[in-house]
Amino acid sequence: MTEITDIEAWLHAKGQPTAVYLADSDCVEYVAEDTTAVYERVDEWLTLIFDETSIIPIGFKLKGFRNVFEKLKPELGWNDGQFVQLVAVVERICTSLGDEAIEDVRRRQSYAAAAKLAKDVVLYDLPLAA
Amino acid sequence: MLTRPDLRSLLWRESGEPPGEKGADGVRYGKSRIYQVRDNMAVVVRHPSAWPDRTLFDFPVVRARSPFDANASIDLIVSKSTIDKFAAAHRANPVFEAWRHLVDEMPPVNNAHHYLHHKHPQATFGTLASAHACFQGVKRPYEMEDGGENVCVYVISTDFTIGWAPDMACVVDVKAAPPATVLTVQVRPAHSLQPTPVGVWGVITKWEFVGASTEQPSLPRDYNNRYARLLWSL
Repeated sequence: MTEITDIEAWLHAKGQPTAVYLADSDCVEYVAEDTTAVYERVDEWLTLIFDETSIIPIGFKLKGFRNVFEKLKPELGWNDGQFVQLVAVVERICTSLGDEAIEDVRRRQSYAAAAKLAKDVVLYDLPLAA
Repeated sequence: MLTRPDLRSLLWRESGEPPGEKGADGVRYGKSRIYQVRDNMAVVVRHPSAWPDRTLFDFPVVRARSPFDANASIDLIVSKSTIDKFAAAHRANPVFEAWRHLVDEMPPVNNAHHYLHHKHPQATFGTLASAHACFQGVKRPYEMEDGGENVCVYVISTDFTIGWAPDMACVVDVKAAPPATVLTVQVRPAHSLQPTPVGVWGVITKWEFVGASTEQPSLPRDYNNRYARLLWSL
């Protein structure tokens, strides 16, 4: 892992959406936007991630990769070193999946959210132009 | 009781930094600290523009109630690998949230403490130390555990949180916490993970806002099914 040495630059930069495997919580997480997120569990494998309104999906979390790997290891003759390589593949796949799927869903949900907001807006009589 | 001159010398020795000139208000301004001695009490205030002592990605040990005895305290560390991955992915929000809600400090970035305290004096934050419930067993595969049996989950209520903001004064800003949510903090005991420092009970692996239960708004949605057992609730 590359050490971040210029924290000031990091604080002001904007990264690209990317999936990361979080080893200590055994999950791959993809988030399209760096914002306050709300996690909604779907089942033991999948959690959807929404923005702070809980309306717009911004990512997903897939859980238990290491657990599955450990079960398949003896059957397929894998070793722990291969898990590291597998993680890189999974991160790349989930990044592509997220870029396509989440963006499409976000666009649809954004229209739905905008429509909902518009329904709640009360229009007052506009003043006549001078 | 220490005299005023003794207090001053103690302050300057402890800080390792000699004070600057004494201002007309009787307060001495150092390079990064403001010193004042009054009523036989010494006051050292960090200068608002002083660079923080800590670094953003190095977290101190955190104290929390024990999962198995709410009246006892344990020490926890924040997962370094999780923070490193967030840093690599340029995700500032979870790093900031960890500082605010786990460590109970503003992130060590310029102006975060003084500027935000002045801008949002009414903001209060729920923290790990004020967690009001703790569950065990997350009912999902978690490394070697088919059901995450040893994972403990603390539950925190908070009206406010912090996030990244593109602002010249400070890149952190205070905001309302997502409505109808609670903050959950997942912790794994030290024996199930890589070696941890002596005296540390476990590692904080994840912290997430989740939807709140409609029947029990201080608990996560579906808390009866998503966790194996409730350890304590305050």
